[in-house]
Amino acid sequence: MRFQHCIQWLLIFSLLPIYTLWVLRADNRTLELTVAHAMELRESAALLELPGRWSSRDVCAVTREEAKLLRDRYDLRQETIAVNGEQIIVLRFREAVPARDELTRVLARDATSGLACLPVQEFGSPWTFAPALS
Amino acid sequence: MTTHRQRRRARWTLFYQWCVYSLFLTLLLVSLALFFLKLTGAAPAIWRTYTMLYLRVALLHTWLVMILLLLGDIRRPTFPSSSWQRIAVIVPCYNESLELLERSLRSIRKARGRKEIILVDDGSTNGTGPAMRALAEELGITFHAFPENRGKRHALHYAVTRLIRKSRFVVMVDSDTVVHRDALVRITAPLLGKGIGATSGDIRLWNEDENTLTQMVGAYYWSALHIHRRSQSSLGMVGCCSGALSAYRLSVLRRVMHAFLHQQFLGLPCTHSEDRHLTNLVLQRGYDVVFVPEAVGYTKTPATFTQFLRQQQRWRRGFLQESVFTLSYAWRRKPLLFAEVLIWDITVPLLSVGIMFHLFLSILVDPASFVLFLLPSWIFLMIIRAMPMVFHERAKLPGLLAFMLFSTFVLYWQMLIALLTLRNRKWITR
Repeated sequence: MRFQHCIQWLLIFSLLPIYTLWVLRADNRTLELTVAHAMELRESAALLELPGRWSSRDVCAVTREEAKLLRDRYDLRQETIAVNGEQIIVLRFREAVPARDELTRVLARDATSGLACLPVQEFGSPWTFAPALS
Repeated sequence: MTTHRQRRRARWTLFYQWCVYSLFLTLLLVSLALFFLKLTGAAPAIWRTYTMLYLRVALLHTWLVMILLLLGDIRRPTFPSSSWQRIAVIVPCYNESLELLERSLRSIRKARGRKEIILVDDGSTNGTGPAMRALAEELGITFHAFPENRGKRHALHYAVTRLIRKSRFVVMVDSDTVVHRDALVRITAPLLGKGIGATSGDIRLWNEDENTLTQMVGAYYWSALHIHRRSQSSLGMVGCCSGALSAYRLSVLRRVMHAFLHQQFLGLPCTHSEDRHLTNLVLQRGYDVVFVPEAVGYTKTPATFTQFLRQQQRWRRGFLQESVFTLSYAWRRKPLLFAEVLIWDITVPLLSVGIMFHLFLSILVDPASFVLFLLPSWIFLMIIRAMPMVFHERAKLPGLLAFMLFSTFVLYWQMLIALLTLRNRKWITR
């Protein structure tokens, strides 16, 4: 084979595994919870309450203590990522996100405090980062 | 008069075709159901599994194509010269422009190889009959004209069964196709070997630079032939020999001509996709079909969107129809072709309707996500799938990406229209 062909195949079979791994990794992002715009919501003092069950578009904004509570109870993965000097908590539920009222109970919030509803980044979407709630 | 066995066979064929057609419709309905499930927010796990499955199949197919291409590159076959073999060149035409026809015939006359050229006029009504006869006489071409339009299949059938005298190989050339000087000997060379029943040439566009559409189509042709068809060729399972330039063993053609002429689909005579059906019949008989990139022909593509969409609509109907036929025999003869047609050609496009709807919705609801993530990852996958083009025809890459976008947003939906109008027998580009 000519040299050009060799380079071609080298490149193809280098890029394909990278792309394959990327697609396979995406499967781990079953339901991502991102802490996004939390500060904005806090400042606006308006915590949105959604009726009924959580859908894939709902998330909850959690503090570090709340993250611990959730971790003790559910099978989830937590990562702490530094963005612009801030520590961001990202939670991933390996199974379906529990119902909102259950989360309220687990996090020991009262019924009126509700949970901040933020866009859930679905499969493949980029994460949106915001400073962790203190 | 048909025998009892033939009638029973016809009934089973019709039953099989309806079953597969129903399966296609079911896949479509399942996909729509998944999309509505997604809209309601119920069972998100099912949607995730569905989209992940789609991506993984796309990835698997990309691996398959690249591995087959590499295989073809490593064990590139060499064929003996066939310049001493007698070749019959059949040119069917219908209402073709005299200028284009003359260019095509003169290029065939000048091409290397011992040949007999046969021009069949399929009942043209544009008044070119006498001029065609005069041209045929001037160039020493066998000419036959049907008194009325019967269809390309009849023209080819007549030429193969009645007009060919001494040739061993048959080359079919469209009436607007100009062949390269060496095209005829190169495209018939593989037929000298055992096992190969048909070959397909490299079709390029002589009006590629006419406008943006033709440039996009030219890029797509290159990708379809030099990547997808070439990958199939490495295992002798090219699914379609281009009607513009293809070659067959005469002995094989004569065995399949009856079935070719009398093909029916869902109880109606077929008028689409002669080229693909002929290829299917050759594969069904156990022969290999290969792609010959050295055999070059230049044809014309529609230069307006209206004409192009009509052509594509006809091709999509034929594609679905012939896929049903391919599935009936390929599981025995060419298992990999069977898997490719079943999964990649049929199941994935039909099942991805829900994903396509969701894509459009995402663009409206969350354009940032589409622009920042979906589009770049799609472009990345397209470039990987078209990587050989980066090395051999880099200038065509933007055209290919533009065509792929056009295909996703426009041509893809023609598949659904084709599925729902599969029994339409009109030749809609006329």
